[in-house]
Amino acid sequence: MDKLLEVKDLKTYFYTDDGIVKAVDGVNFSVESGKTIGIVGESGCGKSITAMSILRLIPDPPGKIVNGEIFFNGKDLTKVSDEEIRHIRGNDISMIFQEPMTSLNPVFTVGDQIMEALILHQKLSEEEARKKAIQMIKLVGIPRADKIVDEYPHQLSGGMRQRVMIAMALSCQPKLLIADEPTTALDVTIQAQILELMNELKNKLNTSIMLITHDLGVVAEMSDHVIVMYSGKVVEDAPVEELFKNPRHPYTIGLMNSIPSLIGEGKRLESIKGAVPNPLYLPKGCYFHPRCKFATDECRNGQPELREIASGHKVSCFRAEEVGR
Amino acid sequence: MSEAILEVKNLKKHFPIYKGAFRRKVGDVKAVDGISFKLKAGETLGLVGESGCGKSTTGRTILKLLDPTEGSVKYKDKDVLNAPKDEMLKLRREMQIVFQDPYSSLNPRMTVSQIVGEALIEHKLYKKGKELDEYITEVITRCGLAKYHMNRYPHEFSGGQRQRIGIARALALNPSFIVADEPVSALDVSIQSQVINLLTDLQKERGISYLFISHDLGVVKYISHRIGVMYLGNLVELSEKNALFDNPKHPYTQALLSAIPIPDPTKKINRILLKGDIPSPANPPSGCKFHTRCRYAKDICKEQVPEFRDLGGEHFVACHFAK
Amino acid sequence: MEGGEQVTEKNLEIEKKPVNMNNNEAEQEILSPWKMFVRKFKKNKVSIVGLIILIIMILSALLAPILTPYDPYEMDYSKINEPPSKEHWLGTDEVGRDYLTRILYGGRVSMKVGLFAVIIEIIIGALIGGLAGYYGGWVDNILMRFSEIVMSFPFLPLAITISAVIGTKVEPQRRMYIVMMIIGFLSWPGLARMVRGQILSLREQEFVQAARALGIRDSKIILRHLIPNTVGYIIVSATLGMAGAIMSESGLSFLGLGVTPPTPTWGNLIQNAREVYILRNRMWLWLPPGVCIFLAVMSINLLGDGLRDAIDPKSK
Repeated sequence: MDKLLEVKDLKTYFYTDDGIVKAVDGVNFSVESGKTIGIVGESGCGKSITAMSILRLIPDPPGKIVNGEIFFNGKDLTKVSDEEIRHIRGNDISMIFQEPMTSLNPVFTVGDQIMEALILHQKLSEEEARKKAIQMIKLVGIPRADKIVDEYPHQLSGGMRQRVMIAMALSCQPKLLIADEPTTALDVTIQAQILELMNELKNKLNTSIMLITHDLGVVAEMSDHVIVMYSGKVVEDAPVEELFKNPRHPYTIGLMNSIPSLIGEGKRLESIKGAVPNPLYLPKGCYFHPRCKFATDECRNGQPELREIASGHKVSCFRAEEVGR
Repeated sequence: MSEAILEVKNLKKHFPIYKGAFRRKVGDVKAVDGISFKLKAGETLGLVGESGCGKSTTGRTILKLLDPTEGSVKYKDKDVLNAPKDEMLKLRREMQIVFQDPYSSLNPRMTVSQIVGEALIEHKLYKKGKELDEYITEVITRCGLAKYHMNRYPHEFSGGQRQRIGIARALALNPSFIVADEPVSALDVSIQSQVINLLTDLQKERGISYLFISHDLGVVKYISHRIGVMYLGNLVELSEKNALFDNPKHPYTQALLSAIPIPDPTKKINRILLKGDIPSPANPPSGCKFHTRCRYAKDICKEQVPEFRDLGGEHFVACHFAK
Repeated sequence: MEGGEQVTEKNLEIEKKPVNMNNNEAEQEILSPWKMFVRKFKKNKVSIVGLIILIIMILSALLAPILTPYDPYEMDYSKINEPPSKEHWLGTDEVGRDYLTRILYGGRVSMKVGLFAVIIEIIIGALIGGLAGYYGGWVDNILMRFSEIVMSFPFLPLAITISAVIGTKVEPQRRMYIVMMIIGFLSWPGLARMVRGQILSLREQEFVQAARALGIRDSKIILRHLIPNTVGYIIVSATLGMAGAIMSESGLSFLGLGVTPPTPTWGNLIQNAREVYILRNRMWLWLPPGVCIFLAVMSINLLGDGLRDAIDPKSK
């Protein structure tokens, strides 16, 4: 059990004119090397902010990591110098974003953008970097790699661009790849290609993947371990098979019951009433209690801790033992 | 349930491409390229396909929000596309649309009651006053909003609530056919199911027919009775949903269905991975448009456009080899 | 999914109730776009300062007859070129007119020119931009090419030429109107392009599509869906345009090609500074009108920035 990344009690707050937004509020998890961890949650639950905190990409102001430790290979990323974190970004940890359209710089060729990191981090010569870039483009399954390397992003389709992003992210053979909704903007058939590619590369290069998504299907397929987030907190943390077989937090259960393909034919979809609370005015007690059908007075007043209810299965719910799908 | 209320025949919508200072026409984007189907009363027909396959354009052309290039649309035996103005106004009351984007689909400067009531006044069904307010209240409470929401503006609502306002707007005219253009794609999962439930409930109560456009096959399977699969402006397969999911006939449908990630980690999917990307609709491949990515493609596929034929039991497929 | 049935039924009831996040939502204040705008604008302290300065300047120009006992045109040869004193706070000019009075009345003229020039700009710009945006196609093409032609006129040479040709035939009091029109007729293309862009993007918005699907008449779509959503931008652009118009007027008048004496404007009052002697020794003659122009333009720009930030839905 070799922990590559360990996040301990991470808190990232945003100080806005209207108040403090606790985007990430005491998050704990770890990523083992060569494994994929899935982070699931709806918009605004803090999953992307968690990822950006790891790379220290939080815009400051208004954002700030106010507490916590992020151990990567034994080094605390919250304490290292700016110089060092820059070296880690793109070299040891790299990131793929949701929007393949905007994450590539339109004025540079695909090759230039892949080569940039190689020259910077791996200290390759321009010629070597170009060779490596072509090799990476081939690796991610793009045909005509020696031509594509000189093309501009706008000449490529969405799926191709996302492949280029992955080629870029993997060019320095990072130990950890953070993928923030990597396939959300893509069509299913293209999504299937990209997911297949990520799995293949994971096995080939032994890269750990931190996969952020709202799609439970993608999580089920890709992850070894899953974290469910709600309003800046981890509500459930379990190995993927355990989570899908035996979800324990009412939010996780609600999410699963609102997915048509998990519900039987002809049955009514269950839905979680209401909407995600405004992060400025979080409810007292458990953040989920206003939407929870199992809520009791205990939930309305106290905040549940994340506790282990079975080996490797952690839930933050007072009534975790009673509820189930 | 057996009477077709909507009949679309060979519908085409081409967008001209202009180039240069003199706006010379250099070609067409064949967004919809000859589509035919029927929709029965109280039925939901799901239309699926990947981005750029023309499913949204189909919905909008049927409602004549876009002028069709060719083809006919008949609604209860009335010709929609050539209807005179006053006739069209009447048809507008019966055929409505719900949009994808809960943000851009509501005018930010109008209150909920103005948004829902505007068409009622326009069609002279109600005059401003108590009766109108009562009716609006009835409609919005049916859609899961409250009376006190009437005088609020769209920006005060969450995405799911905005989508309810959009549904209320369409519902106010008491239509019997609604084009639902990706109505849940922009919503979070837990909110999606609220809106889906609302749509199915309304169908049960009022017998509304839906043309449900979506790229999410799970949602489409859940809500639809029949499903049509589109590829590059054409229907490639159309069938009752279980027949389609259990026994897809077209190679594209097969690949599309196998690509859906299943939220069950214990199941391993036998995935059919497609080669390459979707060709441009401005320059589609000859013959069967899918032949460039099809693993069964033979010479005939490059030359001949396959016929959209019934394999029996109203299972239509456009493939030379489907049996 | 054991016991799924029971849960489902319970859930049904929950759903029919309004989506309610907190119980007192019903009593929450209704935030109209206008209220939101005011609230956001109030947060911008710098713009509030701009607004206050502007109000003071407008008031002092409007109330000039009350604020000063002198007449701006009345000459008093017994008091020529006096320095500031108790009677004449800013002294008198070369024909004995009270200088403060002339600055106050000059402000009237300068701001009036700015205001009316902008009104002309808005009428032409919004109309042409709106037509081009809504109808598109060849209408758009013709109108936009025309606006490009107007845009490519060099402003100063043209203004100077027109002013020189027409100006001599007009009595000094009327020259003010000529200046308004020159500025107004030359400055609309920018606004027209902006309005066109707005309308073009609004037309594609789904709420306009929805209105068409509901069978709403074109005229109502324009009136209710398109125009109200562009007004904010027009107001902002008009505010910023007014600052520009005041500057243009001052520039022209300073060159003697705009409003000419005896009608005072801030621009032609600074003209005094052209004499080196005055520039060096009698700064009360050119500094105050200069400060006035600076304050007016700056406060209008600050106000305009604040308005823009408050109207732009993307800003917070």
